Amino acid sequence: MQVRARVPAPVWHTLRVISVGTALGMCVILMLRPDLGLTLWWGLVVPSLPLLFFVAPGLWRNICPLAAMNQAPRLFGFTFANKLPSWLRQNAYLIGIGMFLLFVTARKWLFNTNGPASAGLILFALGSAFVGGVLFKGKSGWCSSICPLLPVQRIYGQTPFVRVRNSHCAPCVGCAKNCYDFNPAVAYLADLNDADRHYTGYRKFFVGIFPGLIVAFFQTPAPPAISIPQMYLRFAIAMLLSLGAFYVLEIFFKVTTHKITTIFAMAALNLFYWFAFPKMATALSSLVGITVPPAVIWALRGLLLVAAAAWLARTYLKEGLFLLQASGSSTVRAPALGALRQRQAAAGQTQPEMTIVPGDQRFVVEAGRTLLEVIEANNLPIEAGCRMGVCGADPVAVVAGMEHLGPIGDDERATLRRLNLAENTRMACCARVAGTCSVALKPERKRKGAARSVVPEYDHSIKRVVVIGTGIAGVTAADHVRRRHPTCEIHLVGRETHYLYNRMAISRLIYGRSAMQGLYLMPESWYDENQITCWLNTQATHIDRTAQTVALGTGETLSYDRLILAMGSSSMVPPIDGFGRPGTFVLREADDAMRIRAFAQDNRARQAVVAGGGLLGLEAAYALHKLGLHAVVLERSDRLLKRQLDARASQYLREYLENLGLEIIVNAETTEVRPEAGSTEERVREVVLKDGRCLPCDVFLVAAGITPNIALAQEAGLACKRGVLVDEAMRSSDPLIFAAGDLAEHAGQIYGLWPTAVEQAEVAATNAIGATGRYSGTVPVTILKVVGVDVTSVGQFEAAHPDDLVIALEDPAENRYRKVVIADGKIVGAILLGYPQDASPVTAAIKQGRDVRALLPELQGGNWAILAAPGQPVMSTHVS
Amino acid sequence: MSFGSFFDYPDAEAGDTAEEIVLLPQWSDTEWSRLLPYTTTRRFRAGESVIRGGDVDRSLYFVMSGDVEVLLGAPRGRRTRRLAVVRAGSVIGEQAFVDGQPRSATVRSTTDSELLRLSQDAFETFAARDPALAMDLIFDLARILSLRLRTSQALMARSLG
Repeated sequence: MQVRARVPAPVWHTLRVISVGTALGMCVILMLRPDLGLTLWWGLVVPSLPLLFFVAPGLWRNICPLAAMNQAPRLFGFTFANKLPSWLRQNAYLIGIGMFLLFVTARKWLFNTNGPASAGLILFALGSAFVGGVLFKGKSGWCSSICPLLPVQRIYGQTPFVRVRNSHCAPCVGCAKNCYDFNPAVAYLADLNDADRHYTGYRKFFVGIFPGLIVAFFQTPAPPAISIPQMYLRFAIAMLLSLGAFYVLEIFFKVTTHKITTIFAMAALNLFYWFAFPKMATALSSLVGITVPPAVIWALRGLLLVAAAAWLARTYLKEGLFLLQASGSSTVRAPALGALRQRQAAAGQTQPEMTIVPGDQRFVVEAGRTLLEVIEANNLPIEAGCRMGVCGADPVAVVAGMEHLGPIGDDERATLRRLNLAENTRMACCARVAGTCSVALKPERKRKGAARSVVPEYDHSIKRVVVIGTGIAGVTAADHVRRRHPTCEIHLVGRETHYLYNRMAISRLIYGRSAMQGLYLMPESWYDENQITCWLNTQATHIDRTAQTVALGTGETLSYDRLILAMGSSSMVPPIDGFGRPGTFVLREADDAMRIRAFAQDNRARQAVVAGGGLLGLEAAYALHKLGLHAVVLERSDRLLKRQLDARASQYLREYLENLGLEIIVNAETTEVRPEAGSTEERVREVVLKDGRCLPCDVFLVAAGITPNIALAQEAGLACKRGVLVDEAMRSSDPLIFAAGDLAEHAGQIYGLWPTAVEQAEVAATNAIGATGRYSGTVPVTILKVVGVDVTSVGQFEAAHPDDLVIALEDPAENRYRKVVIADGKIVGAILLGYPQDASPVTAAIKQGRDVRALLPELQGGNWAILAAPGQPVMSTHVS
Repeated sequence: MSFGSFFDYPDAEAGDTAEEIVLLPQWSDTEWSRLLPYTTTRRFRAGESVIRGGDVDRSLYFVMSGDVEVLLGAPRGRRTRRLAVVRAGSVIGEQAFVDGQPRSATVRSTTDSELLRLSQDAFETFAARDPALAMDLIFDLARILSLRLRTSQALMARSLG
């Protein structure tokens, strides 16, 4: 808020020496040639001061000889710099006013006519200011406390035409309340609005008497024409009348006090010069013999009136801003937090800096956090899917500092190969920050001519491959066919209306703002560039295995040399009476999510019930909660995520979700959804549970698992159980037909997981074009995607054999829990709740089947970072 | 009433105006360090915008180092007016954090600065994990906003009185 400096300090110092010299010279003249001195001093110099206060008060406060004397002790370092005693601080203003009145009235009978007395007055003021400066700190010994000219400066200088920075106080020592040097523009307003009644009272009092004082000063005959007591009586009457007028106005006019004080100040200034201009003209003519014509005086009076009107307007405008500031933006402080951070910084916890380009936004990052965590925590635009480097939703370009990111794991490497982007690409969810780096949220494309990541190797007799299904399994299969076989025709047929999108993120379509933008994993051009013919919104209705053709619902027929089935799965809906009415949903595709959002808005839905406490159910319930609905999760079993969590972890998770505002009901099965009783409306308003309980409901969503879409395969005569049966080459019972993803049943397993679909599709594609690939099952890794909770579940999370070793560590204070199951010295499963940084080493250890017998004490002691492969930087555990 | 924001004297022992509103004075390091992990840290260079007026960003900021200035007006590149300078140790953005309205002012860094940001999402997580502390925080913000309301009312009453 301080005014900026424009004039260098030495210039001011020189001016001050001149001004003190002038004051002393004045004294000498007053003593030796009183006539000349008095005319000069009282006739010209002093009457000019109010004008200076009015135009550039800061200039005066910098060159005032009293201020120079007052500040000399500080400048030369011999001030005691005491704090002003509180009685003096409280009464300083009164003392200033008192002295001012005393000196002004005494002019009439003493100073105006007595040179030595006037010189004495100047010397007294210089001396007092100096003593004040020796004793008290800053300007509190004179200039900003008892200086008799300060009240006048405060009134006239409240919205200065020219602001000059106070050059005395470097540094500011905060010596005075509402310092006039510090912020001249609001000091007077702050005074008037001060909570201290007396403090505001002094200001009002002074401005109230001021016009009266001026009139009395100029209109009262000087003694001995009247007696001194008579003179004082006149002064008193004039000031009382003036003060009375002020309070009458304050009482009757419904405007702020400040407006009245400003009008009084303006009146005082104009009255003063109304009388003073002619007197100054007289003084001028007696000193230098110039006669000022009356027209000039009139012009000056008029000019001053105009300037004062402008000043009045400015002052009024200023008040509005001041009130706005004073009422709205008093700063809130949190000193303890700052101190805590400083101690942390002092303790040597230097943290890496991450820069997002373009835009150069700089973040301080806790070492060990993933880029994704940092980017998401700062609400920057990024999509995320599996959060383990498999889905490929979050590639970013590392513009600088690649060496300061954690190493690339197997899953991430495979994904990077699939995405085939520039060398500087990392998956944000995998890259952990260890040092300073710069990241662009948009990945860079591979340079032309860069080596392809896969060497073509294929059966040249294959000319045409048809893939049914445009989800991740289908697109991955098509992609891998193209990589290995640069020439064959590829047809990609799918029922959905969208190009491949990040299915794992569709719950965000319910509450986010972005709709489909950002969910697409490849640009539309990708399909053309890879010469893949995409049939969106097209159903495959029949497979003729003998003719090797696929009939489409649109009437066309596609022939194939190899066929890859990737139709995925649908939501399983258990028998529930009334399911299918308006307001009942499943959540499997992007369109489902958008329908739910639209329905909730159309019907002003308040209550949501989600049947199913699995991953999808919880994510959907969270999404509905974020959309503003009260979300209830119904779980058939006795706990949430029963396929991913043990009872303890499930309990922790449940508490968190309940605190978040979700309602969880376990052992609950839905039997019926029905409309409002007696209403003709069809839409669902109530859910009935098996035990008879009824819940209000506007949106009912079933998330009870998946059913593979095998109808087409069954009709074609392929061997199926729950899914299409495949061997380790992902080949079905027809050697020309392969299957991958949610509809493929391998070794009795249907995983229903995105990473599995990717792995299987690559194997299916490889074998389809005549090369060889093997699929040997997946260790299921699942991550719950609800903000604020890091739940990872890997593999077998309960002991299956009496010899299996379980290490389970709880941190109840932080609501964290982690567990590994160790069989034959190898970790076979894990649950991590609140330990995101352990997820990747633990998962890697499980997938690699590492022998951890030597590490047992460390694991039992909680140092799970030890699982990070040798050479991999050990990330610090994050503070929470 | 305090006019501390007009007279932000650099000296800690500043005159009578040094009374200021302190957020959560009852919190010790223990509580603050529980909140810290939910914040993110951003660095700004002198002249960089921290908050743009009109943005919808429901976050609370803590100025850790440097000075930032609060600018008013100038929706379409017109002249701005400086409302206040906010120094290290201060909290900004509490109004939008509570009411979710677009930012009323622009905040710009006047020196190199470092700010902590507590987003609405992060606060929700904090509230689910540490409901008691989250209630402390939101209650104290309510106290501060109420205090301000009283200030405005008193100011209004006194001005018109």
